Parts: sequence; C-alpha cells; structure tokens
Amino acid sequence: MLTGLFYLLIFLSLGELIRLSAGLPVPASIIGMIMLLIFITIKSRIPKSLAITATQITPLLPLFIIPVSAGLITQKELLAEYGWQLLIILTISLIPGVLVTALIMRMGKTHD
Amino acid sequence: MTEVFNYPGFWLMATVGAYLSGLTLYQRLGQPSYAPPVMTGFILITAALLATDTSYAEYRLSGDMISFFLGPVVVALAIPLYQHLHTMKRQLLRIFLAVTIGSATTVACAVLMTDYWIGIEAISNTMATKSITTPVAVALAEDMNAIPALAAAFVMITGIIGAMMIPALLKLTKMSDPQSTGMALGVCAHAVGTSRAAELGQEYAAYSAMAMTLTASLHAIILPWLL
Repeated sequence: MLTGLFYLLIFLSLGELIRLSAGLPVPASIIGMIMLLIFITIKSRIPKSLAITATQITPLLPLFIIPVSAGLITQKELLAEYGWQLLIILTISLIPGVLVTALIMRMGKTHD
Repeated sequence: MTEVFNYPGFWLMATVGAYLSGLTLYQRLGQPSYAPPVMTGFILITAALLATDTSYAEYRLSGDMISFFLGPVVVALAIPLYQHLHTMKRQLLRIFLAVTIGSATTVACAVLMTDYWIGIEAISNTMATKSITTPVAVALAEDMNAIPALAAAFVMITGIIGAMMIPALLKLTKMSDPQSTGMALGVCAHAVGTSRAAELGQEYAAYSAMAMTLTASLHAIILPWLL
C-alpha cells in the first residue's frame, strides 16, 4: 500500500516539477499520469505495489470529491438564479455528443 | 461546546462519515445511478456546514487534506490506460476520433448554450469541464478561471443524467452495441457512466473506462490552451 502510494506521490511531484519548469497550463496530476504511463510502457509491466495501491485508492474517489463539491455552498446565489438553465444545458448537450460518439464507433462497420 | 466545529479532526470525521453513509445507502438501494455516494455525502456535509454555521473557508482546512488525494488518483489512471491501450491497439484511430469529436461535440454544445443563455465567462469555462472525470475537472477548473465547486457539481450531474439516459438513447436510435454504448458512456458521462457500463457487461466496461481516461487526458491537455 505505502510503496504504491510513494510511487504515485513521486510521479505527482515530478508532474508539478515539469509543470513549473516548463510553464505548462496542464495540471500536475495529468503530467504525472503521462510520466507514469511512459514509465510502465518502458518497463512493460505494472509494479505490483502500484497495482495494489491503485485498486485500493481509486474506489475512494467519491470521498475525495465530497470536500470540493461542498464548495457549492459558496455559489448559492448563482444556483438560485441559473440552476434550472444549467440543468437543462447539461441534459440537452449530452444528446449530440452521445450520437456522434456512437456514429463514429459504427462508421464503416457492419453490425447485426 | 460549539468550539468542536473549529477542530479540523471533527470535519475529517464528518466527511468520512458522510461518505460511509452515502456508500451504505447506495448499497442498500441496490446501487442505482441516481444516488451515487458522492451526492449523498455532498448533501450531508453541506447540511452539516449550514446547520453548524461553519464557513467553507473553515471547512477547507480539513477538506483540503482529503481532496489532496484526487492528485494520486489521477496519476493512477495511467494503469487502466496502459491495460486498455494494449488490448485495443487495432481500433486506435476509430477510438481516437470518437473520443475527440464526441467530447468536443457535447462540450461545444454546452459552452455555446451557456454563452447564449447565461453569458458569464466563468460559468462557460466551467461548462467546458463537465464531461471529464471529477479529479481532472477540478484540477483544470483551478487552473483556468473556472469555479472548482461548480465543476464538481456539473460533472456529478452530467454523470447521473448520462448514466440514466445514454443506454436508452442509443437503444432508441438502434446503435446500442456494447462498443458504441461503452464509448458514449465513457466520453460523455465519465466515471458514473463507467460504473453503469460495468453493470451492462465487461465489453461495455472496458470501452467506457478507456474512453473516460482518454477523454480526461485529452481535455486536460487541450482545454487550458483554448480558453
């Protein structure tokens, strides 16, 4: 567990280091993920400790999100004013995206 | 007595408790996509903050300790990405097109509708992060003049609506094969869509997980340059 977490923290810090030194607008965690992907690809296997930690930490995602989402209480006025519009936009905008994605997946293929 | 509400350990306890309650409820109800643990947890914590008259700034002292772990979770996405890139090499171009064009379509619709209807730049920017998994959306929102809390809410709501609507919509348009459905769930409804895909079957789940990870990485790299 801890060894795997150590790996993740190394790549997260590496991501931040690259972000700062290259002045990239991309989040440190994403750069860290790409670095880790390169690392695994070069090794052509996933270190066991890393696989264990990932399967333990990933299901806890909702817990990690709760504090961020609680920040919504600072946006009360905005939600009171635009809540319904936002909900409608979120629903309607899904439809074209879903249809386009499915169409591309089926282009030039024969299906039953 | 009420000083306990200023103690960071109290809010750590409360947040973990809210999550566990959400998880228990979700499992008792038979894991429905309309009641993800994050939503129940969010409602409980928000209610507790309002009831105890605790400001968000105070809560963040504890909250940030917990949400820091979003970073390691994003780094760990390299693992499913590696596993799926390996098994889906032959369809790489098709998958790449579906992810880029599909997600660009839904995001463009949302941003244009927001511009037209609401016209506040910070909200439009936040809309752009709606179809990517929360840890990435939040990290992005912090970097690009958007509102992280609103991003978390948009992502959560998109996930719930998508998980309920996408399989039905594709059945209606007769495009409901496992690969298309999985991709659409992953591209448009990220992690919540992926857990819906997992209920539908293994092939759905594999495509959805891969689509979700690719969408998040692509957006994280491209969006900051566009806005």
